[in-house]
Amino acid sequence: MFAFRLCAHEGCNHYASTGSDFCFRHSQDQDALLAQAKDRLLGQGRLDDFCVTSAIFGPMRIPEKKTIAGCNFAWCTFRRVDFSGVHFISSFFDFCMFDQCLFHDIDCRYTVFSGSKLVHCDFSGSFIVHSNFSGIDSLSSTFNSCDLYYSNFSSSFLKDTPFEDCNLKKTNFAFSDQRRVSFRYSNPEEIIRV
Amino acid sequence: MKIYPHFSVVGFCNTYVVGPDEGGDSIIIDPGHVDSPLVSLLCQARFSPKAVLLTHTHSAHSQGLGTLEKVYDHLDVYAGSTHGLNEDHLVVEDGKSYQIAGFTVKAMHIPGHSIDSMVYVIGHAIFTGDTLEASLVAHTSGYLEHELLTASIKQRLTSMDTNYLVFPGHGTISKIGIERLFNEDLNELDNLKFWSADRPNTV
Repeated sequence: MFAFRLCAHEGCNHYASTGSDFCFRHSQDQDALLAQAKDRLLGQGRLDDFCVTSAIFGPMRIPEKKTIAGCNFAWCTFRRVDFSGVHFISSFFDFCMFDQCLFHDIDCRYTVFSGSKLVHCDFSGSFIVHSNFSGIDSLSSTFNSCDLYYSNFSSSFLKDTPFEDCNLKKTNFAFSDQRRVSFRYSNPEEIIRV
Repeated sequence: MKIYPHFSVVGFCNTYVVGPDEGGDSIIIDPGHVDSPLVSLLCQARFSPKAVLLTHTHSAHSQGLGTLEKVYDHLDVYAGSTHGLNEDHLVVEDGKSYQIAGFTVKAMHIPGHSIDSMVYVIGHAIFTGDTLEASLVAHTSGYLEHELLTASIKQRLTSMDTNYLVFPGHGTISKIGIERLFNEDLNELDNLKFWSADRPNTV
């Protein structure tokens, strides 16, 4: 799991980035930190226990089958990033902004997207179990053909976000605001706490 | 510190394995069921289990203990009570810190779901068992217990740093900051309190 070191800047409550005493926002050399993060994301092999918060990532394609484990990318922005085929384990993407990102066929376990905003994102055909989407704002995104076993969408705002042909066993949609959300060919009767 | 979650299909419980980055002595939290994937996980991480922490003694969280004790010698078992366990298991006390397998483990007694419900803090990770799950507060046997449990959670857990990670006994992982914002069970009772305080007593 990523190191629990808070930013050395007085009053800042964000995690310090890996290899720095400061969070991304308070770092003197944001370009170097961003370059390091991109290298680690785009490089071959696993990405373990990495932490960078509040960084902005532009268009890129994460290598297929790459494993991202025990990482913290909270408060980051991802624009047109293609995560297709990536494996996520115990990682944190809370309060992020995902704009036009692709998550086709991802394998996602015990990963947190809570409080994030998803705009025009595509999670179709993915295995997303035990993952936390509570409090997300999802606009024109899709979760079609996903296995969402034990995932959590409580307190979320879902607009134009289809969940068609999904496994929704033990999926939590409590207190969610759903507008033009379709559960066609799925098993909404097995949702917990609608 | 490495933390590996494992889903026990018996009782739908999350079991966690905590150990050092380079492998070595490790802690198993809530062994609901011991199966070959769990043993493989321990082998791959080069962990040798030295201790078991039980958040409470419900069978979904402790049923695998017997198997673990047969497979691994000299396991120290820590729990909030020895109810249903061997007498030689160790009972942890509220607020005390223990050195277990090279880690400092702080025990917090937060009853409500069960009388022996414990929460363990290791580094920046909080293992909450059934006491606090992502977006949920534990099931209790009545409204009074629920109210008391919610008050305890607010006083002792959600008052912690927002960056602390929450590893519950069931469901998804979370952070304290996320629970403060999106746990409707906590917010619901706030609304109820506000509502009842605002209205005259009509009984």
